Amino acid sequence: MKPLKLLFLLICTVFFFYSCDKDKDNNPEPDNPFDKEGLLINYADAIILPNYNSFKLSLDSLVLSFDVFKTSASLSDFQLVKQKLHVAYLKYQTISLTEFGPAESEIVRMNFNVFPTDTAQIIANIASGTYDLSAASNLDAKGFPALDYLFYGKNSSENSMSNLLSSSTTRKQYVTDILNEMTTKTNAVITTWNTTYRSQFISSLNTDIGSSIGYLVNQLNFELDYLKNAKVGIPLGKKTLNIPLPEKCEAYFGTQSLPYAVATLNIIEDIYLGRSKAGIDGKGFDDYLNHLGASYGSGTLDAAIKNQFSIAKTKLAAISNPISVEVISNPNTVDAAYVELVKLLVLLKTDMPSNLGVIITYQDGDGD
Amino acid sequence: MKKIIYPTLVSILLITACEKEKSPEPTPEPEPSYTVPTTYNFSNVNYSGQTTRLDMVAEIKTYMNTGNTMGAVLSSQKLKEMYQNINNQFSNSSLNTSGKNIKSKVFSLDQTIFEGFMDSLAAASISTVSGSNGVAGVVVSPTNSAKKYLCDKNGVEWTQVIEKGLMGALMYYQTVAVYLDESSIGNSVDNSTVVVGEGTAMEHHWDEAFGYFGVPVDFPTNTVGMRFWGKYCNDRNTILSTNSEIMNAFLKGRAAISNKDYTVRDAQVTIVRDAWEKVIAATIISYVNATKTNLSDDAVRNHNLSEIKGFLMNLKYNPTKKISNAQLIQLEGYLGTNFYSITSTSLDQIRDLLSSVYGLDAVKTTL
Repeated sequence: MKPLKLLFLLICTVFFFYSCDKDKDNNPEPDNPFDKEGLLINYADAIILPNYNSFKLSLDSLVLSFDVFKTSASLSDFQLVKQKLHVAYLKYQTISLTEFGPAESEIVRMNFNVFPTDTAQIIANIASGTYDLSAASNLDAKGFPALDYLFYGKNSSENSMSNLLSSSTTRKQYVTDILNEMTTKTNAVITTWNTTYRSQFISSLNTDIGSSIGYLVNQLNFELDYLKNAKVGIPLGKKTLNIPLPEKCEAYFGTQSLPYAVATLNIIEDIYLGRSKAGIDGKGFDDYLNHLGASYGSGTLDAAIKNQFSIAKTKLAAISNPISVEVISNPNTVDAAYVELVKLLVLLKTDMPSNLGVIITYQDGDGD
Repeated sequence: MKKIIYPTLVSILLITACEKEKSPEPTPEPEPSYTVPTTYNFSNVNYSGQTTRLDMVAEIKTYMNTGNTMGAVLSSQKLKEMYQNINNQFSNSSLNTSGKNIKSKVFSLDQTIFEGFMDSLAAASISTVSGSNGVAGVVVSPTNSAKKYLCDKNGVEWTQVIEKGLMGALMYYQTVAVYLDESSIGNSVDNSTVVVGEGTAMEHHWDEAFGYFGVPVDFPTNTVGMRFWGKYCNDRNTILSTNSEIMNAFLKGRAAISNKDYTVRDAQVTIVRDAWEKVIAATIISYVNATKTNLSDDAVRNHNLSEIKGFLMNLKYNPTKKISNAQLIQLEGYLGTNFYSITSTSLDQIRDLLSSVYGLDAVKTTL
């Protein structure tokens, strides 16, 4: 029994110290503070603002190409519109998780990307010609998912979609109204960041509720939950006893669900690492966790998170595009990615925040 | 001091594991280093939403039962409004103002099929003649006139299908597939921020799962107030002993969550899911037996077969179900669509398939 007793003591001791470490982490080291301002400046100037600007350029370009198509009605111009839509939708993935401050005021996520879109509502809106896009009832009849439907249609040829759009004044107006709203909101967010919000963002040096780090950690996890559930799990049938629901996929009509999901995971990783839009690894949560000495098992928490990012990215990349086809023909591959996203979520949503002293405030899961 | 508990537990587990290798005889499960109470009296428990929905189903059932008197016409609109909780259709006004409804919590892909059942029930209630093969109406037992049930022309008593179906698509589904799922009680769900009156998110979800079981907090010592699944579980308890099996799992799982013992939590999920599923299978078998002894009594037979139809639907809602989808389709085939033409052979086929899947061969005739 003697070796066992020793082992018992050893384990207790290890866990005891581990617990002490954790306590300390909840009040991150006052004597040797992490450069949180540097962290936030990197986030603002190297990731968030460049991504907004890049998104704005592609959205403006989409608007411009649609204007050209409106007068030309040519098929080649329509093809260009669809290409521009894809680029803008892809770049949108890099700003989706910045849903705090000005983006939260504009409610960007709910206005730009509620899917699946309500095709019946869209058709009714176009038919009536009178609609208020800002009404809550139209949240699922506008934004990228609505454009996805209006440009691709269901089982429709490119030619017929082009003709349908060019021959209908009300349909063209509907697309114009959607694009105008997105442009207005995007410009409002960028203007506020440039004029007042950037300085507010980088000077918020706590980790409590309402702090910049608090927002970032919460939205990072919200976006990962959203990727796991809305983009992968629900189409796979995770909420419907494994009965797949392909029509619930993002960009269902334009069939770009996989690249958008990959882009989402990439931006989550960029934020975690503090990796700039140009690909340079600056100050990020990884550095912060290492500074705090956050451990996980026998290694560091950062190593565990990086490893899990790598596994999740590999499994996600193993899915063929689009996910709507894969959930039927190859569900095991999609499920494998789902499982790894869940593991990543546990690390980022429980282990990372508890070390950083951040409280997760957004609601998820069923309950009432 | 609380932090000491976990390492101690781990150490105990380790030591037990070592001892296990030494002695081949089975060692009992290690006792957790925290207390598992004997009644569901934990701090910060609230499952009022579940209680409200059980009350709603009970009132819908009461209304549907009024159709068992010839000449009483049921309104499908009223039923659907109760289902969605719109237009203040409950006589218990606190249900009308609860902000809760049943429909949105029913398994999403089956939400509208219940509205179809309600239409079928209301349509049958228009009949002004007695029910018989090919004729909708109230069917009365020749030996006991108190046993009278409104059936459609195929002998289906939709009141039973709707009530038992909702026990599955709402209560059982929400418990085993939603609240006991990774998205509600998995490791990424918050288990540190305590909301006064509701506990942590993980604790709350577990409590909500318990709320759908329909038993008093001191079940099974006390059985007063048990309803729906609590009642059916108790009805099979002499043979299955599932009362304490399920109750203990709920108690142990809640204590485990509060003490962040996730291995024990996950083990209790398996116990609840498996035992509850077995209760459903055993209930169907018991109705098969009851049908066999009342095969020529149109009222009792139709009533029992309608219970079977409802409970059979339920088996699909368990994400770790023992039965395959193909077997479920087989069972529906044995049951058929016209209850006046059921045979003893097909009843045996239902019983034998279920008893073999659920390991109930030894008790299939006594259930």
